[in-house]
Amino acid sequence: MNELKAIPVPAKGLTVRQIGDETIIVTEAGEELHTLDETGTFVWSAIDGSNSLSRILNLICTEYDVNRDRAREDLLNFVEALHEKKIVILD
Amino acid sequence: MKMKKSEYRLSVGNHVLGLDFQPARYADVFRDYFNCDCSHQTPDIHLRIKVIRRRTIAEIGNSLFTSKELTTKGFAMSGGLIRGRYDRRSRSGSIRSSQILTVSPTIRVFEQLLYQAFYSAVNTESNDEFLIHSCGVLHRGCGYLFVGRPGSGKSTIARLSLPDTVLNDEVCLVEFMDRGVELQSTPFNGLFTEKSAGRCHLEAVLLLQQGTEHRLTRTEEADAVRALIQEIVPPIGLDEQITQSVHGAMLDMADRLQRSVPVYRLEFQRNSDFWELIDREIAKTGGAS
Repeated sequence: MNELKAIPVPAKGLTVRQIGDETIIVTEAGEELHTLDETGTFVWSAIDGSNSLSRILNLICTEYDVNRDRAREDLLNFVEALHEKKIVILD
Repeated sequence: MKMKKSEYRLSVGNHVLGLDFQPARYADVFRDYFNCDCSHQTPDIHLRIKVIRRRTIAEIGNSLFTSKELTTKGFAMSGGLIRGRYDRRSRSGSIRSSQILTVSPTIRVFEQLLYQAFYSAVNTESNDEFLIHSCGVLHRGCGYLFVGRPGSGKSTIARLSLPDTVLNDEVCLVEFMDRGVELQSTPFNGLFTEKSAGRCHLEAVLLLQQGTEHRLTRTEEADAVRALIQEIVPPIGLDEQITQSVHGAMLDMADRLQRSVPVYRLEFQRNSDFWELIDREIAKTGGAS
């Protein structure tokens, strides 16, 4: 469960807009454009530099009718993908 | 007022770029390239452009935006092939450009300097008008903007749309006005000689994709923004660089456009039958009217 103690922080220099149910993120150099779907947008809104992954997992389980283990796995994969794309920093 | 032989005034939308060339013959070179008469309106900005012959062969990049560097003396682009300075208070500047950028086809790269000059002439803070890589067509009294990546078929659409009025096959001007969104021609891409000057109400935006049949589908909001932002010419003036706030401005422009005008994805074949589909479907669902 240690991995859920990490606090994801949005990387600096991102330009972010919510368009409809989705979120568009432009990286600092402007070379990459990423889109988050509705669920990704929900998670992104919780990534504010203060919520731990554990807290975000609780928010997901409150918002969505989802198995907690499955939600945990999806959240970790999602945040890892954002980390690899240098969109979030894991504190 | 009588104009100097060295001067060429280029109209882009409602704005006029005053270009004063040295040697003077380049005023004729650019007038011939753009195939536009010299405007007689007072220029919004003045640029002295000195064209320099260089024996050294330098690599010419495709972008005068990403290669731009701001220095204490002004700016440099494309590894120094263009250097200059611009003073926004006097709305004037001086530029030294390698001659290699003034001949075809690299003159297309030089046009990017004029895109930035256009934005210097515009109040960029308002974000009410922007250039976008697109083919603009005036069809049955309404404007249609075909947007796509290089190779997606903008020039093909332009050719297939004749004898409709083609406003430009490569770069058009979009302006948000109280009465709606307007599409305007630009003089850019002087290599395409069948364009006509004009402006009209923008009825719809079509994201281009070559396909095996003609198909028109309404796009989701985020899909539209994602496609549009990639084609908006970054709204930076001559004394600016692309920054995070410019990305934000581009996202906001793309979002404002898709909220103001319906955006469709158009799969098309290389024949003009796609216009029948557009007439039928957009008339049925309603454009921006």
